[in-house]
Amino acid sequence: MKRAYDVVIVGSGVAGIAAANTLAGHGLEILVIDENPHAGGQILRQNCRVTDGFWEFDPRLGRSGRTVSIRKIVQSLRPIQRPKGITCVHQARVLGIFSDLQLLVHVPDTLYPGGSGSGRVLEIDAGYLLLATGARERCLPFKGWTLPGVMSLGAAQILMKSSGILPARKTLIAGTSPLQTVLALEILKNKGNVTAILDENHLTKKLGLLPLLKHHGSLAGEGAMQMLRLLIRQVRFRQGVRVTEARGKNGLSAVVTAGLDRKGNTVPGTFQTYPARALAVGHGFTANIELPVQAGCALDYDADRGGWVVRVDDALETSVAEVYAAGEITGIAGAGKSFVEGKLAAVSILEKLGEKTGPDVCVPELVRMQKQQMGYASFLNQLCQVPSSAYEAIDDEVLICRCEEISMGEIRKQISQGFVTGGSLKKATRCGMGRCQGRICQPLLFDILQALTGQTPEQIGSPSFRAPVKNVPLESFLHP
Amino acid sequence: MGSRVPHIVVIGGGVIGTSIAWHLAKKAARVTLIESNDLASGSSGACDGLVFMQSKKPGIHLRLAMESLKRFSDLKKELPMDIEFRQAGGRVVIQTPAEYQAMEQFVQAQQEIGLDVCLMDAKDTLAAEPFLSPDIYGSTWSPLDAQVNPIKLTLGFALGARKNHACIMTRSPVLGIHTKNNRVTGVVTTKGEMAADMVVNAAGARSGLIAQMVGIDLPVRPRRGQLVVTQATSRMIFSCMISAGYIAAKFDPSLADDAGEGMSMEQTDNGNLLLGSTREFEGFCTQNTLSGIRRIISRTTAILPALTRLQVIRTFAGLRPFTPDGLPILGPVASMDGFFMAAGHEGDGIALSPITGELVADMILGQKSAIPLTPFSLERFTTPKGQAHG
Ligand SMILES: Cc1cc2nc3c(=O)[nH]c(=O)nc-3n(C[C@H](O)[C@H](O)[C@H](O)COP(=O)(O)OP(=O)(O)OC[C@H]3O[C@@H](n4cnc5c(N)ncnc54)[C@H](O)[C@@H]3O)c2cc1C
Ligand SMILES: Cc1cc2nc3c(=O)[nH]c(=O)nc-3n(C[C@H](O)[C@H](O)[C@H](O)COP(=O)(O)OP(=O)(O)OC[C@H]3O[C@@H](n4cnc5c(N)ncnc54)[C@H](O)[C@@H]3O)c2cc1C
Repeated sequence: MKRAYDVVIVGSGVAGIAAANTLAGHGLEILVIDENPHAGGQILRQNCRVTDGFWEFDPRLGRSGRTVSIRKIVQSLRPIQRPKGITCVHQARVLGIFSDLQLLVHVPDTLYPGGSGSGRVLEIDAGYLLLATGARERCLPFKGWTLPGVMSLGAAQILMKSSGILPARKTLIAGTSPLQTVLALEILKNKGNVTAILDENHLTKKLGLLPLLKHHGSLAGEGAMQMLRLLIRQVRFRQGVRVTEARGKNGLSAVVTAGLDRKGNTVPGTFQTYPARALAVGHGFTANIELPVQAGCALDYDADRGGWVVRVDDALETSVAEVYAAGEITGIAGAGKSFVEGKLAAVSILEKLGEKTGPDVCVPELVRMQKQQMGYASFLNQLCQVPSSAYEAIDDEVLICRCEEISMGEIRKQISQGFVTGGSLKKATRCGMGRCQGRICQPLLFDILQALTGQTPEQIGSPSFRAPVKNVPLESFLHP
Repeated sequence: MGSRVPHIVVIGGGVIGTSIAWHLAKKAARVTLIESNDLASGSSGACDGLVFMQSKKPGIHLRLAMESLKRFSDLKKELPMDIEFRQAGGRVVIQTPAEYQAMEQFVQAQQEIGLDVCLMDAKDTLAAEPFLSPDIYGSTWSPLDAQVNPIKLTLGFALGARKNHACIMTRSPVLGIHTKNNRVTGVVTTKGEMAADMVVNAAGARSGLIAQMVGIDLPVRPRRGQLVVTQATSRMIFSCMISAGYIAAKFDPSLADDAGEGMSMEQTDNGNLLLGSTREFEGFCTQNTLSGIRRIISRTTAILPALTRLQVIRTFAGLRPFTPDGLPILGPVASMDGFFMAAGHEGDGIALSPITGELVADMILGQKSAIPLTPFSLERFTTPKGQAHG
């Protein structure tokens, strides 16, 4: 690894790989950094297990001018020899970005043997920077959501994909996210059982959102196929119910649900209890904006894109010159948009460098695909959206910040004292100052503020993050 | 002004501005506090919470600090927020024989004026703080030193002020100050104009910009200090600590340029360790730097090796409001009626906030104050040498 690169790509998910592919072959020195042991990000990580070499997507994927489904992306991925000029570093975390595009990176000892065992922190200079840091799940808290046995949909997926472990013999699945069906199928594939899928969304809401899928026949089809397969396997489906409580002493033993009206408000007297050892629940996604925020990139708030996202222009350049963003961090819309934006951001960087892109990159088609993909963003994020009343209904005793153990009651109290901006509420409660740096509670706190105070996103303010955006062993700073 | 209750505008929602607002409001004055961002969003939200007596130069500085310390225990009861004040003593860690000699003299001077402080050898120091490196030379110890949560202190002052009917406006940067015949008449904020009979400049490191609005030059400069925060852990240090080098750096800015920045350490109620700090003149930039972080970590781990097994969870940087003689600027200014200064506390603003609020409020309301404000006047920088504070 060198100390300076023409282009540094943070994140080797769909967006990062697509960008690296497009940038390759122009004589540039390119560094791709990802904190995972393998490339691939959220959806391709088990397809990218080979450690040497690199990956590319079938070039035809970017030429169709039509939206691409996840299935197509997975199918068109193929291993290639590592292109000249591309360096991939895994298990390395970008901790911060300072002026003149200087990156603070924590690298493992495997790259610099002889260290203390905790890696070291280096500065790396980037000519251009592409942030493709993806998204993570969000979850509506409820009583008992911190009990062992309660997990996010993604965590349950990763458990099976990476270590082949089922969450439990039987798993209860809940929330608003399309990952519910993906997880259910994964569990069945691994010979597990799904007690039920408890979908908060009524069928009417889903049907109402269908027009947004105008350009996404394939995605809608994929979703319908998944449902069908689950129905054939006789998985129980309930719609219009929300988990209100997880019960158990040392681990989960039962889950309480309530029925919801059309607007998503709980209906009194409709409680039901399910025995359960594992509950996987999720309410959509939130962009991993910590690094761009720390770097000073401006944000936009757009509920249809999943909340706070990085502001980019048509060339996908952020408000910080020479810093580009692609994929989920500019708006949650799944793998198709990440693919297209990865390519487009690479094209913009090549243009800035005065490089001509190869014949297999068709910019007008890519731009058209990107626009269409936004329709899917609206569908996805509206589907996952939870009504204000759900936040208003959170019990006082529910923990919102797990690290600092801050309850909803404390948050209500401080809001009533006048701490109604994100920044001031964080100061008054310490919510988000803990070890996870607010990765879980920061988006939640924002939603709670919106629901409880009715302020605009601008009034509440966008979140702030400081380096290091991820925890790092103190010792690693001692080895320059 | 007639019989009308005068309207006092305090600019700055840091620990100093909120303390002044609280003291004024408690005495039924009509106060509006204006803050450009959120409360405690300046230095007061990006600093340690040391209430150190040992680090103050014997003289007016130490006297001010001692008076301030006395007020903390009452604040604990009076403010509507737990300010996490803990008087567990403080230690100045000595790392070389030369430092030991220097500290011997410093401590002697402190003892002469009656400060409760003593010198300890390495053995006694390690008995009290078993996690410290066996390589240290000794320490000086004072049971008076304490710590407080600076954010909660600021928010506590503000809530207390509001309970006493002060008006608090956040997210409202002051853009200008109206004057007429050399007297302030109002302030302009992004949310509109407001009449004011008196304006208090408590804008910390930015107080120079506020003073410029009324044509006054201040010698206040932002002096950046970076901090490193570790994960919460079981108790690793039993009192707050600074190094002897820190004291040197405080009193001789030229030392801060190289190895003389010193170090500070405290463990908060939550168990996080706050490791500091740097002293840099970098304008208003509050970024951290890798070299700054490395300096802090190498100095603190040399004293407390057990730190190496912890994780760094955050770094941040604040701007100390630096003045050339290390003392704050408090009180009226000769060239503008109704304009008052309360800024420039450098690295002691948290510790000095209770007394500052009280003194400035008393002075504004024309009441007798516990300590005369003359040594802190702006004019000390313009009057010929030798006439400055004694
Ligand atoms: C838990 C979860 C499960 C999902 N499951 C599915 C699914 O089954 N099907 C589906 O279609 N979509 C799924 N998605 C949606 C997924 O986000 C997109 O499909 C797509 O993978 C996004 O690609 P991306 O390149 O934008 O981001 P990602 O694939 O998220 O890639 C971002 C990469 O950046 C790395 N990174 C981030 N910050 C840093 C840093 N500071 N330093 C170093 N590396 C960093 C991450 O490790 C990650 O590998 C899931 C999302 C989540 C959060
Ligand atoms: C790293 C570090 C460690 C420190 N450790 C300690 C310690 O252990 N003990 C101690 O006593 N002190 C310590 N200090 C010093 C202490 O932080 C400061 O002295 C103190 O916070 C100053 O308070 P203030 O209210 O004057 O300034 P600030 O807290 O900066 O408040 C000024 C406020 O004015 C506002 N403002 C500025 N311009 C305008 C405008 N135009 N309109 C409206 N509002 C405006 C700002 O937004 C800000 O909130 C430390 C400082 C640093 C940087």
